[in-house]
Amino acid sequence: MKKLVALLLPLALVPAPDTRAETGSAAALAEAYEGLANTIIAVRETESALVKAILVAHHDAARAELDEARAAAPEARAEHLRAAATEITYLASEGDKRVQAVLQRLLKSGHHHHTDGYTNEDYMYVDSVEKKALLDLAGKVAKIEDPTAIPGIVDELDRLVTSTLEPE
Amino acid sequence: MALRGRLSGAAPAGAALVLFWPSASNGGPVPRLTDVTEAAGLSAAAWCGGADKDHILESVGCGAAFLDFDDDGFPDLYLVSGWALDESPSAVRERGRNALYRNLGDGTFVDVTESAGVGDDGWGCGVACADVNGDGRTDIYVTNFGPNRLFLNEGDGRFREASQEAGIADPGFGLGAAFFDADRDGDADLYVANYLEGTMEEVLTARRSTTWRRTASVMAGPFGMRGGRDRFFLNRGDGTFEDATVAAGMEDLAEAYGMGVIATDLDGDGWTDVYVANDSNPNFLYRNRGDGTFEEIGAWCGAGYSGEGKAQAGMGVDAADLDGDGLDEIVVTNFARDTCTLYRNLGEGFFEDVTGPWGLKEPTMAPLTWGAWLVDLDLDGRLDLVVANGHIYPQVDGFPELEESYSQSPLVLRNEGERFADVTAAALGTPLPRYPARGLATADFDSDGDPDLLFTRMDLPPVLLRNDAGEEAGRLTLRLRDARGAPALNARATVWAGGRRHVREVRAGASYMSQNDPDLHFGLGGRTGADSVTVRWADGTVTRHGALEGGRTHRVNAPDRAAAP
Repeated sequence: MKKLVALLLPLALVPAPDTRAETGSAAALAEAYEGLANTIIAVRETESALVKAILVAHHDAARAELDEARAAAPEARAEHLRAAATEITYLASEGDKRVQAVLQRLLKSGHHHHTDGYTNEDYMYVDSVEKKALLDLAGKVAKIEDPTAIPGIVDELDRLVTSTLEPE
Repeated sequence: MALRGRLSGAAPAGAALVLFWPSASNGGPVPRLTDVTEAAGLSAAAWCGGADKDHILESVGCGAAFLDFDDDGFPDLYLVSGWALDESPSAVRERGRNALYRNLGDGTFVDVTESAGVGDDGWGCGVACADVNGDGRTDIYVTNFGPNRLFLNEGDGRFREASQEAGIADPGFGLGAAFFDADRDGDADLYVANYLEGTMEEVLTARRSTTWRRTASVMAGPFGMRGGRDRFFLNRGDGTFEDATVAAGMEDLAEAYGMGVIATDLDGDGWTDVYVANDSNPNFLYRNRGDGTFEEIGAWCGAGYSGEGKAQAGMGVDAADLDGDGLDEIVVTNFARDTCTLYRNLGEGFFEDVTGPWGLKEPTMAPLTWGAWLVDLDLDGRLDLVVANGHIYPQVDGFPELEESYSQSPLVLRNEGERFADVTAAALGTPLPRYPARGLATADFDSDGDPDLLFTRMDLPPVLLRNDAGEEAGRLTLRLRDARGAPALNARATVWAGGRRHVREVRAGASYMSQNDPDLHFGLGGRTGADSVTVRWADGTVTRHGALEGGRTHRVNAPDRAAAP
């Protein structure tokens, strides 16, 4: 990420276009814009990979908590189930609370990957239907009383995450 | 445990006049709400920036609190004010001062701000009141854009500012606040919702940069701005606090735009939980683990998002038992072109969105909603819903095609049994009054037994609406006091009358940055009294009482823990 910042910084120093600019200057500015476009595209691709990694991490964490819950004594089970539920809500919002704090600031730059933003656009991977399904699943997980229900929940979670990560 | 009946104060002139207007719904008569602001002597304006509202700070408005600071049995009123700004050039025109009005007991108030020493001139936002230092007197806490203030009640009509020494001069952009006893040690702990990060320079240089519905140029935010982090302060027992936000599990990592706060037992385990209405973010439900630490479960408990799975623009919040099962439902107010949301309590910390079935979608979709109280206006034994409304963008008035307006009518929604009916016109008369309202607080200011309403307004004095339902309907008022004589925080009274259960709780801070008088009002639906009363105090102790006569105020004192074996 530091490399990206270093790449972008010089672009902020590009002088404003001179209306009397000669053809040569215009070409240089176009070239700078070309560079900026490449950077923007690269940033988007980096962000996509980052968000995918976030989703995979929360999926893994949710599965781990569900596994622990299946093996745990009743007192500890509820704790693991609530932790799993929380991880699933992080899937629904494409990141934990720290990431949510970042996302709400990104709207200032027209970055609308936020289902709760003004535009109601979907997240990068999770659309509004998948988000609702994940939130419902989280609630279901937190309410589990019978541990034999857990394998079915894991299957449901896997199906949802697989479908979310599939290319549209 | 002492239990003694006590008649309420003398009825003010005019209180005997009961006006009932025909109902537009299928229920009985709707009590008329009469604007008595001027007659009551309330004139202090709540300044909220400049006319154009270029910065979001200028849109949040101010709260109000009913409290009985002199313990004479009549609810007094504290009104918060921000600052007045000029637009061109942008500059501070007036640093507004908060106002304390003493209730004279005859339906009028007198301004005692100067003698009481509570006219703080910080940019005020919200207020919550409780006995902070355990001396039995109600203190006042004000959330500011800038350091918050604590006014300790000296007991002689004067207050002393003590926020720094108490450790709760939080410097953020504070809005909602609530006192409650998180750890059952008998003192008042404090949760403060901070909205976002900002400076006065940013406020004064702000320019409108958002286009609202492809027409009006309006203020920016909150999206794009860094959210403020909420704070939790644990009372050491001597009226000083330590910041226990992280230790208690309440670290606001989401930096959500916190607004309304309510502290109440939402999972029925006897420990007080905290619910935070967040603007444009999922709402928080901090479930008390039973030891004064918390687990945030909003996202999966069913009360963090709407039933469609969307985070809404949470503003105000109230909670009360609407369906008689002893568990509190939650109502959250939201932005325009979205509904208020009602969450039914399913028990054990789970909720479901019942906005549609309860008839809230249609009446609450158009207005931009703020303060909200579930209150039994007609004393029929069912809790009604009153909502304060007003847009944040004054510019919408320039675009009639938007069908939105800066000033909006409040909503009066009567509970007709598992469904609300809009009786606003019957209650307020036509043409409907319209205000740029924000805060909403209730109290029986005229001591006639029914709850009256106070709305704060942007850049205007408040509006006090007198309710005249009380003279004919069965009703009962409980004044719950802790061992030191102060309102008993989070004491929860259950009244049984005619086989129906009615639950009310003493709270310090809710709605939108506001607070009700701590007296608990029960409509008995025509019954002449309560068959029995149970009180669960904040420390978990339960006291049971026999039948209580209706039509009066009963004081119930908490058991003295020190005297217990």
